[in-house]
Amino acid sequence: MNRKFISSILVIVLLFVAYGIYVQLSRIGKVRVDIETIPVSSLVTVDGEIVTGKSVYLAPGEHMFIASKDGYLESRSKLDVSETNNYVGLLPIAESESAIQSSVNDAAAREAVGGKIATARGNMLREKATIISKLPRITLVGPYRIDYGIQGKDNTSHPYLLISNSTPKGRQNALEWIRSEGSEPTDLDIRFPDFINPVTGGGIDE
Amino acid sequence: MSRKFVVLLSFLITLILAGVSFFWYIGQQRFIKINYDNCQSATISYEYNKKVQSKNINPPSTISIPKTAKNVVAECKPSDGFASTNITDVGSEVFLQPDFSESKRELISKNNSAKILDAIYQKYPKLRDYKVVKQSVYGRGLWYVATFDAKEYDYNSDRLRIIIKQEDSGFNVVSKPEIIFTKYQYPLIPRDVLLQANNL
Repeated sequence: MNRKFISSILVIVLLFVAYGIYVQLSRIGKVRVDIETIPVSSLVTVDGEIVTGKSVYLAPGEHMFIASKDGYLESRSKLDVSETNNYVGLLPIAESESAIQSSVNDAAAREAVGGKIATARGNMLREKATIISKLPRITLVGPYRIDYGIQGKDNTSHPYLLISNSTPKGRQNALEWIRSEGSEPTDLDIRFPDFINPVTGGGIDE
Repeated sequence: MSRKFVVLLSFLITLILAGVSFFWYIGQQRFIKINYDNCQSATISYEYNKKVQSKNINPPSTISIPKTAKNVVAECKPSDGFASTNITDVGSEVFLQPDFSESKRELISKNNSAKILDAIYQKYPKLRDYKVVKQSVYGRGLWYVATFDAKEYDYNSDRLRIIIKQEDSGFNVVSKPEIIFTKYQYPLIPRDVLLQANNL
């Protein structure tokens, strides 16, 4: 084989390896976030930077994703990126007549992405408060009742816990039960709807 | 082939193999930047292949551990006058900043108790009807926490906690009296302080 040819091949391979190392190094400490948009040709930006691929590597924390396309209302999603919270689905809404017509063809795909968004949001909420899978909890011995609701509507929303039908001792028992289940009350949004704070005169979440 | 070409070829192949090995190694590692102050040294321990392993860090630096390591804990061996501390929620960067030792915190708390209670009663006079259960100081004297019990039992006589911050202007009450503090209600107060206040 020609020496020049072998050398050229080796240099090309070397360049690929060097590029691979560079890419890998630039991804250290970052999480791969998969992005899906319908229409697929939407322009996607993350924190204002245009993204061309279907995934992007980002540092953990909050990031803003926006998908836009002519004739559509842009779709925005704020995501608190983590190892387990790494999917963003964006669905710009058709506004112009031609966009409405073409969005009819995308209906099935939109539904599929919508389903993935709902699943990702459910996973994200469970990650933020694993305790919600064990609620509601009602105990007469406590006595207390713990329910939960969701605060906010986007990807940064979080579950809140309502501790009710209780007494001072019962509220402490409820907090102890939360701890015994491996959750830390400090990290949860806990509200006591039937507690009237004697010092401030209002509920705890007034 | 000339000798020169063989040497060059060998060099390039070695370089490629080294690059690929490095590339593979990087892919298997998780990098954690460890920062600390007032620690003699820090330790990262983790579970890998069902064995607990640890790495000593001195001075602060970036270390790598296997990507699949579990139960990663960063721990500080404190300097004199500081308490031991550890972080279990280890991300890509860790700051180990030990609090004052318990004896030092008790002394600071005792010396400032009257001023702190004055600040609390001024903002929430109704707390005078409660008895002070405990007071403590955290965050190197920046944050104070006090707990209060009602003198009489009724349906709202829960133990209440309150947080005070030492600022240039003096002691400022920065929370309402609460049954429990959460990071959602008090995002501006460090989580460590909220956690310790909830456990006082």
